Amino acid sequence: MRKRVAIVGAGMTYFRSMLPMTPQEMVYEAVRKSLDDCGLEFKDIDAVVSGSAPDAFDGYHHKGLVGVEPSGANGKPYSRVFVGGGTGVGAAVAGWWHVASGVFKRVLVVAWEKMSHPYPHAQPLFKTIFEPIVEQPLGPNLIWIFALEMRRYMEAHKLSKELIARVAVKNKGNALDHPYAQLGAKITVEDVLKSPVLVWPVHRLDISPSSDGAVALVLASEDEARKITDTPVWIEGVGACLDSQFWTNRDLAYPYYVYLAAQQAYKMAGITNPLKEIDVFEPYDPFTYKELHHLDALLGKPGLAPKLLEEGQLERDGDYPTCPSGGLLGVGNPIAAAGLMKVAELYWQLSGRAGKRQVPNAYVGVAQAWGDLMQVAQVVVCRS
Amino acid sequence: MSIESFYEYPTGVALSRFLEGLRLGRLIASKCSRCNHTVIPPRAYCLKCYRPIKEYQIIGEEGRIATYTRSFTNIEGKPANPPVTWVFVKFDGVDGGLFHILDPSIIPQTGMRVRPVFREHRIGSILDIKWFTAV
Repeated sequence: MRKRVAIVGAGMTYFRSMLPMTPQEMVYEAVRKSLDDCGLEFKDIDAVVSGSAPDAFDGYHHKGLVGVEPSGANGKPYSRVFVGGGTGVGAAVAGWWHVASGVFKRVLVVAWEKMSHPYPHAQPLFKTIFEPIVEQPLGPNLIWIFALEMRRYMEAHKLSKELIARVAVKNKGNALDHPYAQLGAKITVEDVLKSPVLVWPVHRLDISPSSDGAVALVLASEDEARKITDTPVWIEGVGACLDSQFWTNRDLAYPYYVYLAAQQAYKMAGITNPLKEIDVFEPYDPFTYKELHHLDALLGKPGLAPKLLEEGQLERDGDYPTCPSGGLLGVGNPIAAAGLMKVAELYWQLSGRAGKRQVPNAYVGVAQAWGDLMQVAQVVVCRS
Repeated sequence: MSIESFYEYPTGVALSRFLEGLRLGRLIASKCSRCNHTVIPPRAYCLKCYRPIKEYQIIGEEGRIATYTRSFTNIEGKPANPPVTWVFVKFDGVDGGLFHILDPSIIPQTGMRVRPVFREHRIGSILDIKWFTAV
């Protein structure tokens, strides 16, 4: 019999391009805040699930182990989840397994990233994620494949760059109200279009920054959650789906694997019409078009998200508030931490703690992350 | 495939205190203002009660050898000439300890009292300690 699982606390560090802290210190800060948020102590935690991106970003192996001491996991079950860019939400899904299984009652989920360790930039290290025989010799960079996907998406639905640029305007604007955001800004569509073209059609302002940061959540079983807080936010559905490493097998216009993961989560949560039943959407937005691409799949309707964007429905005061946090484009993109930030945003929104970012009448939300070679989808549905 | 990448690490909140201490010729530990637990190298959080650390303390530089080894090969697997003695030094009343080189003129023994020998020119590095030597 599956146990009901609640989020009872959350905490995060600033997201910044270079935090003058070690990974251990960032993890500690996020965990300390999440425990203080719900009045628990390190000793109250039964197990820890952590998430962080490839070891190459830090230049040393088993870097997941740095999370043990500052999360208080010494002498406890501790695991590191890794599913590329999907890791942040994937860690929350794995945390859910721990509690839903009935094995653990109070579980800490923590994700962190230090993108500033490699220099001059983390970008060359992304080359190592490509298949070594047929792709790496061509010298691809990460933006390169997303530019291909963006182009395909634009063609499939006859989308203009002007329209897609509005995602950056919206999310960076939303991030102005996020106290930990790296790139909150009031910008215009013109600013995006005038920013340098990196890999056409991707401009500089279409891309989230590289960031340092950490986020932590406290999960609890139903009986524990009722004792800990009056405002638990329930994880009602989780979904996870992977597609082949060979992205050349897919039609890049629609991330069907995200659709499948969302359907798993909706089925568990009893959601049949996401458009009507969900109040807050936090799709993964490392690039402007990705927010729309993913929202299409979360809604199960290819091409609908750009229409909603055009009508202004994705604004915080619209009918389908999307990335009210400011997303990766605005808050920042410390890979694994960025995904978990989206789940934390659901917790803050659905428990009425989102401050200036608060979406009115928010009871049900969905968060999603995506990663590896355009193949991973991780989805969490929450309800207050 | 060949990728050249370099890495830069911030020393962070706690270790920057430690390294600054070395530069000044001192050993710095973190001390919890709630439970008094003291650790070297210092942490930004208490390992016992998990409160943030607000206090950093100079500790007595005299320690004792908890264990040691002697390496006859260098990092490339070639003969180390002369061989290097590595020691793990613990300090009274302080948790943790330091790993370093022992003065080659000393024959090590477990429990032997040792102290760090600081270099004249110090830059805020673990190598500001030349080695540990017998008291």
